Amino acid sequence: MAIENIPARIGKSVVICGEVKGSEDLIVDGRVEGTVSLSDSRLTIGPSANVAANLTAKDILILGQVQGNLVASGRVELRAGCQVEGDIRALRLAVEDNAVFRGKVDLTQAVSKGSEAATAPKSGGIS
Amino acid sequence: MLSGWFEKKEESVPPATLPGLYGPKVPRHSGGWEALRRRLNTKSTLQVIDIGYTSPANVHYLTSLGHSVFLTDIVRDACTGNWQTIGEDGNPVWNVEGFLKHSLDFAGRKFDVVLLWTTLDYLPEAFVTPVVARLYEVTNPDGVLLAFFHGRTQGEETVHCRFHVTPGDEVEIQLAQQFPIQRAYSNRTIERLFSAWSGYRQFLAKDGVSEVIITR
Repeated sequence: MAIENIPARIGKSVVICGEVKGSEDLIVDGRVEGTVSLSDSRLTIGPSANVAANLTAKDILILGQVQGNLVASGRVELRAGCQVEGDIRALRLAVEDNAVFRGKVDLTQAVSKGSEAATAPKSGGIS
Repeated sequence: MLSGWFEKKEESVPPATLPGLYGPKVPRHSGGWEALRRRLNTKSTLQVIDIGYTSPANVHYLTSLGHSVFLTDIVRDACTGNWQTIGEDGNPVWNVEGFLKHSLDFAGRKFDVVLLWTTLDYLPEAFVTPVVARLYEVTNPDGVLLAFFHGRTQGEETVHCRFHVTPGDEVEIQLAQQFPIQRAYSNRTIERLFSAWSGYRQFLAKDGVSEVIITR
């Protein structure tokens, strides 16, 4: 059934303190403090989310507030209205106008696969 | 040029009270950016600080050249943070150390290029010299800083703007969240402020904003 393709979701009223790990797509709309680590999956931080955690995934999409470092073996997207404070390491980065970011962007260093192995190009790209 | 921009702005841009605006970007020739761009193009894997409201164009351009970029908006931090208290003598006391720790703590990182833009014109007086000193500490020897300075505190060109780099010899300016300009700089004031730095190169501009590249 199609339900298998629906990403897991941490709802608006949910607060998690600790480590969130998985290997499927995840949407966070609530509060997470700690770490979120997804292997080969997409992590979405929704517009109502307030996250104080280091985030690792293949692709990371940010619409809400994040305090923490982002490591993506694929792409990081910062959408308009989001607020991110932390460092970003990724293969590719897209920043929309009116996304607020404080921290370091580094697309030049290797980003590991599943956070430990894939090799980034010498010069990263943005799209 | 700026007059035309502001006429257009009144028609199309929402009030300048929001952190980010979607107003028009106006190209402005920049001798300082032209010179700095050559350096960015000829060296690889530089560490760059871009100070100001997050500019996707700046992130895009700098990272596409293989550089790393650190972004921070210290004017907004300085003007919206709770850094001022009243001392026992009734005079205001600025928490300079707290501000530096919050906004300019790079965890031991050193940088090769600082894009300071017009930041120093809008900072509270108590922060100006400490910010320049902190930037000196975190800039590598032979690193460079690009700064713009207003020559006067009146006029429409003194509104707070964000700066977007381009692959050409222009920068694009765009209305940003508004903070009042605090001061204007003479050449002498700039030289004094950066007296610890080793080199100073000024670029003339037609709009009352001087551009300076300062070498660590």
